[in-house]
Amino acid sequence: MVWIVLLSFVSAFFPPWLCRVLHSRTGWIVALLPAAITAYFARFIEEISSGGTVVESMGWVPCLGIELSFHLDGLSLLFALLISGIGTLVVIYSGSYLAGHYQLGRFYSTLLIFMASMLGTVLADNVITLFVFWELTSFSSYLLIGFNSDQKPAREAALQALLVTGAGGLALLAGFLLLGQAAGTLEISALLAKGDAVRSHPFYVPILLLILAGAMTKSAQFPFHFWLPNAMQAPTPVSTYLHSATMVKAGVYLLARLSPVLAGTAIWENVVTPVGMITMLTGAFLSLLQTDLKLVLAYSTVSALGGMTMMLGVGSQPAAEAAVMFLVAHALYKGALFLVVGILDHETGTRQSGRLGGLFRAMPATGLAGILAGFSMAGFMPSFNFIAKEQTYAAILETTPAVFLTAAFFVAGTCYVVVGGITGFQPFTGRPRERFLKPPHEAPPSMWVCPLIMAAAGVLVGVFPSPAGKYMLSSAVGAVLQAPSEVQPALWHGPDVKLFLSTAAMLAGICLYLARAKFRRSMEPLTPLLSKGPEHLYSLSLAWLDTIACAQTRVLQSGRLNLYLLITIVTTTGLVGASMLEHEPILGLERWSDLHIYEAILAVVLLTSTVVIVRSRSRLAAVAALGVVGYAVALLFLLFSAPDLAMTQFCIETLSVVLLVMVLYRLPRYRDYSSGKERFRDAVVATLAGGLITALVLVATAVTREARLTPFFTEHSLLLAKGRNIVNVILVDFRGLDTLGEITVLAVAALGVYSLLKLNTGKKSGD
Amino acid sequence: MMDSGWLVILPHISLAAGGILIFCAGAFMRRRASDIIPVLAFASAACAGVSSAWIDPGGPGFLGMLDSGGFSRFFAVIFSLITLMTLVFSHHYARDRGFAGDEFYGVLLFAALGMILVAGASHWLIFFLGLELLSLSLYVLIAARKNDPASNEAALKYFVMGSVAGGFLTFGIAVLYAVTGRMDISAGLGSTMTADNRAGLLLGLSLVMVGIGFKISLVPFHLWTPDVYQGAPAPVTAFLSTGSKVAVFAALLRFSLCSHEAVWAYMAPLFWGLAALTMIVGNVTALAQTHLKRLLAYSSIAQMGYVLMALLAVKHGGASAVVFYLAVYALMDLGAFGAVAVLSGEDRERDDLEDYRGMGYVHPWRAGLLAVCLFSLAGLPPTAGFIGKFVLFHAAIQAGYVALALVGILAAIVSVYYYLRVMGILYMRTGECGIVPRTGILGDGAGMMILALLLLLGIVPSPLLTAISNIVSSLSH
Repeated sequence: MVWIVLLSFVSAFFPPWLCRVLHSRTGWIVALLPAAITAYFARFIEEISSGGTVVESMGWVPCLGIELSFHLDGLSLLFALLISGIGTLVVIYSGSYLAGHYQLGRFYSTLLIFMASMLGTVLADNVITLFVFWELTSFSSYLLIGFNSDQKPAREAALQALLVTGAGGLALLAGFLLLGQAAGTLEISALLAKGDAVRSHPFYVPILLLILAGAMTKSAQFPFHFWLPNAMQAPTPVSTYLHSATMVKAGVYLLARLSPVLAGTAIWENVVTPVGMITMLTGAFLSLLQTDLKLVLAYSTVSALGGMTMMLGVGSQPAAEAAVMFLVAHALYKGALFLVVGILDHETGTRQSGRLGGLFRAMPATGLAGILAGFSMAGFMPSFNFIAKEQTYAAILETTPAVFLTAAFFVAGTCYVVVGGITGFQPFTGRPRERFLKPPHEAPPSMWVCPLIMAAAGVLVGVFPSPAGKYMLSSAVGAVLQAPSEVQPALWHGPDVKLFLSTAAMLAGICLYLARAKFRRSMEPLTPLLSKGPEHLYSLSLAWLDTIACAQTRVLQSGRLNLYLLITIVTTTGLVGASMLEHEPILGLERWSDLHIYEAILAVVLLTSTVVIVRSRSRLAAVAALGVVGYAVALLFLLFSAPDLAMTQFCIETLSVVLLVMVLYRLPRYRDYSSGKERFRDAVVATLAGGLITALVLVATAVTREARLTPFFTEHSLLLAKGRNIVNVILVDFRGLDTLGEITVLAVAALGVYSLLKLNTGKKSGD
Repeated sequence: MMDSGWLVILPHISLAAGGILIFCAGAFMRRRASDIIPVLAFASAACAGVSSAWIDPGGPGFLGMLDSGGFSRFFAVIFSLITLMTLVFSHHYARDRGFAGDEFYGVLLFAALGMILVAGASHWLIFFLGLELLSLSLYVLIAARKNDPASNEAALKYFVMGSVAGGFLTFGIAVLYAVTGRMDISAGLGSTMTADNRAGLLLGLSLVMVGIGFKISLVPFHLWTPDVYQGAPAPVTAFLSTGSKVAVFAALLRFSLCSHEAVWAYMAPLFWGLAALTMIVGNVTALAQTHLKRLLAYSSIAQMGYVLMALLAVKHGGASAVVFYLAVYALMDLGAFGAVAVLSGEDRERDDLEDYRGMGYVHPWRAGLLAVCLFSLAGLPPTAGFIGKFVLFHAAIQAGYVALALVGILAAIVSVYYYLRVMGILYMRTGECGIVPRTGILGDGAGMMILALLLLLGIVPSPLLTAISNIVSSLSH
């Protein structure tokens, strides 16, 4: 399995090259890969249905506990077969749909990458591996929605979809990490046994909410559903494959997969079921208001995903059976309908429901596929969807109180009948509505055969449901519930409440279908209000973030250096000052009582000249005062027996005054750059910062430490260095290398001054 | 403790000698200097890399002032690689804009020397000297385009701000020395807290943190970053945003590993706040940027926030996550700014985002490099950035910083938006993106190497992760 998935990724390199050689026949060759994968997975049906699982593992990042481990059970197998099977049909179909497109090769590459990632998502046993494949599906979906990159709506929709699902994906990653922390393992197969530990863990609520955020953005649940209809900018085969049959079901897959770990609590039921129900109703209702057939299908997909989520929220055995059945039925009929709409668009150039009609005569095969699929979608008698619906009613009727969910599903079921009619029935029956430029004719067989197979399968499985139940559904439901289960789907359960409800929904649906135009007109005033709600919120929040960001940039990032400095100094003072107040340091002020008079004089000189620097209106005076400060500090060094330091300081001070004076020549006229208020603010900040540093000096010197150097020098200068003048000995012997370094620095600085002087005169003579 | 002297400083000597030789070549060889200087610079950076990768001196050198363990050598190799890449990216760039003199190449090598010293210092003085060498060299490098006012302004801003921060840092070191009596980093920070030295220790450390926070541009010490990144020539920005930050962060990691549990317990809340603030402000502000270099500057600010988050987990085995992410970060930012360099126009840099419209179709490989780097910065699989983010968040959550990790995830979600917006612009068909820039095969080659490495590390991260956890475990005991 691991190799199959990796091989699919590698094979994505070849289509562009194949396209150059084979042109429009590429589709048939590329389709061999998904077909082979379908055959490969079909081999496992026997083993899985008898209760076995297949596990394969390969080290990836063992030190982090990330394994490339794959686990095939009933649920994964069902998904893998849907992905590879529908993938085969979609690849064949796109060969004709995009015939002659200059980027057909790129299209196939991305499609194969998607297929491989999707297979990885449903097969992965390690949650981190699952996440990686999950994000890859989002990314390939981005590329495929934006396939017509010269169209602005396509690019915007692609970005929106990636943003919504990508952000959800990151939330999912956080959820997985917490889950791993709570359960102590990242392997799903091991997690499944730790449900109780996870549910009673303090992280349970954040884990659940984060994972739900991931699953619900991916599966377009309310209020994140808006990206899916917008994603219809993608070429129709992509919408069929990603945004109806497989990718959007990844969220449902994840919920089903993790339900043994996460489900069964009050919060699960109170979040998942209502969200699913609201999504189901919103999607169903909005689908009736659309005129673009693709949008009709998109909203009904949203609705169907909501239905599956709702069933998983209920969580009982019949509900799990209903969810799995509905998933299969939906993939078959909705995929077929999308492909049919694609053919209509391809052959007539329009997808507007009002402009299409009476096309059966021109395209009988497509028409047959459309009618069969529409029939399935409506949930009429021998279709598999009928069985799924009955099962859903059975599951819902067991809940308490049953009335809400039953009513909701009844309404949705009514809407599905209308959608099935609009998309599968109406374009082919009645009279031709409009004369097209070129008369519509049947699509090439490679196009119509694909929806026909899917639509026919949807009905066939309904007529002969027991093999599907035995070989596929039982093990899938067993995987969801983590308990061996026996699913026995049947068309006829005798006259009971379920049959009554579904018949009533059918009749109501037929009535609504006949009155659909009137209904749409009466609902028109509501359209902007309803369809734009969450999407409007989404764009509002983006705009809001932008505003904050801009305001923040304007205030802080003014480009003015003094503001930057101010912020830095204030923060430092605040940070260090706060921690100083907290720790109540010992300042040791009493040790400073033996202040000598010359020290005090130096201090006064220092302070006075500092004030002069700040207040002076002449630059030259300021520079001179700065020099005085430097000399005073050097004198302090001398007084505290650091002659070498003092010497260096004297020289450096002299040089820097010279340098500054030279630079003064080139400066513009002295001006006031700040107002009085600003200067007052700066003075306060400066005083605070100065006070802080003073306090720090006191703190640092308060720690008593025996003075080791002075006695050392007095004792050893004669003994070791044979010199009586201690200062000399320190300079040339004990710290000889220091002195060398200092001299070098001085020499270099002097060289700098010299070259500046040269530059200055050169400039003058040049003027 | 064995003192293995000269072997320890082989990489240092190689860089310093290279720098001096380049200055000599510039001064004495009037005619052929421009051919020789880049070769010299390349050779000495390569020598430094090779010697630190393959020669194990077996023990610290110079009275234990210079560490020569796996940690220092690993970072020395990274800095050599960063220098090599910067040299390659700036080769054509600097020549076309007339600043490819000896001062550029020589100072670049000295900056690299500063980085190696900072990351390898086990003594406060060496750390400080390395940092000053690095900073001074960077001031010069940023102003490399002497006639460009933006470049000069950037250098001046960085210089003034850097001096203030450097002042705080020096003072912090002095206070630390005063209260502990040790200049040895691990002995000083590892000393037990007493009522006597507690205040001094923590205050000194806070001041050191201000200096470090400035260098790795943590919010609120980040204000210089966008201005400087925008003003500096793109290859220098690449060097500045990767080398200097990684070096200082490596030092910070060493301090954190060395520090005593009690000291660490006081510092952790400070780091918590800085990390949260940095991740949020960095990512949110990036949204408003319309210039690519400023956007990348904010992104690099935010990235440091993520690393700081994992640094909190350093006492619970988070160190290797930090080191791994630093290595990956260096690659991503080098690639992104390198792409800006190789995509820049004849005379000016493409800075406005609108200038990149449709670049994906005109220069598929160079734009591809930028796209992969952005993708990796956003932390999306299958790039190295994903594994990096994963190890960071994993470490933070394992150490119990769940709330901070959630803040980080939220910030990362915001970041996806602006990274993808740039991607959208790159692959927009409607634009015309002007002049076809000419850059040598070297720059493109380096770009492709970064691209390949980012993908490779995203798919096969195990060897590097294992190597790093060995290196870190050798440091922590």
